[in-house]
Amino acid sequence: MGATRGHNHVMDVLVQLARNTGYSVRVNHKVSTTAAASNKQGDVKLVNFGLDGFNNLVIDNFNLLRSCW
Amino acid sequence: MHTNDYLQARAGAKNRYKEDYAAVGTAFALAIVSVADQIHPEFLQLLWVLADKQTHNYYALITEEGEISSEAFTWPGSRARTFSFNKNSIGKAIAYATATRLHLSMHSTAPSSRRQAGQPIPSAECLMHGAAHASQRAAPCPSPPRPAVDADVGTPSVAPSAHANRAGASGEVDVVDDGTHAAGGVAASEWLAATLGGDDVTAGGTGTRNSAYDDAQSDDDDDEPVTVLEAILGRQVGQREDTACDEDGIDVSVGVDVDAVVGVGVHGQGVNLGVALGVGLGVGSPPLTSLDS
Repeated sequence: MGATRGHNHVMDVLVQLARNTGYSVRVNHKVSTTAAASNKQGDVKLVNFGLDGFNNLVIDNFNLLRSCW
Repeated sequence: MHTNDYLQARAGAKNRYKEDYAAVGTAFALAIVSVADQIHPEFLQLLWVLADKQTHNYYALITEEGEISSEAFTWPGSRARTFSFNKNSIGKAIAYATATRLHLSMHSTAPSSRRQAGQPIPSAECLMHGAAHASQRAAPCPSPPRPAVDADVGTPSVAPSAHANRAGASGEVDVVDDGTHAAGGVAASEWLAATLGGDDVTAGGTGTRNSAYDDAQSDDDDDEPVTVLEAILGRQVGQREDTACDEDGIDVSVGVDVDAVVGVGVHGQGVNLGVALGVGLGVGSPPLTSLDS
């Protein structure tokens, strides 16, 4: 429970940073659907990020809180 | 294995998703951080990109577009400051998340059979279970409630973070909303009152009474909570209150010692918690020679 809260808090800060930058952000607090073949969906999606060849940028937030305890 | 190696290992395990996302026209980046406030280089690169765009947007608002490439834009200009600000925001978020994780690890790992309504969990027992859980040791035998460090009396143990760029952000983590925090609180004074039956302690044979409850309550340090962040840094709480009462020619002294040490150490991937509690209560009267007068 604490690891999830800590993960979500770091993710919220990252989302706010991206929004302050001007990007449209989609947040996925709960991994329920899949966008990749490996049944993995990222936490934060920056729409129209501007990379060549890619439309969006998916960020997977991982902190070691989940593995330390 | 050092933390940097662990970060790299996790990055290697996650990088396989890049190909999966590339197939759907989406780039994939990792945001890996450690509890020791270390940030993976790929995440730092992402923060730099965000800082660069933020600075561009800022100068686009206040100056002409041709003036953006001025000296102020470069080091030690606003872009570096913006990057540092963003990085520090992430660092504060990591610290807050770690404190939250530590707090819930100590206060939410008590056996479920004890977590019934009307049966609060003593703080000392919570700390014991939390320490045992964190260090992967067997839980200690249940012990009678002892005066804890008052680690959860009064205010929330984790102060809300104040990220300047999180204005109006939802999802603020409240570490006390589940009630487990308040359930574990047993102040030293309450424990003393419960142990002594809530009655006054009678010392001597001539009706001289001295209340141990009042004795404990008279200590100003009882109202001072110990936050989790203080627990992380390690704190030794020592308090001693001696009260002497002279009534009807009989001297009675009551001394209460409460010493507690909470230490937490983070070593790489593991966390060790150590809690030492000691309580001494002494009630006595001086030699009878004082009655001669």
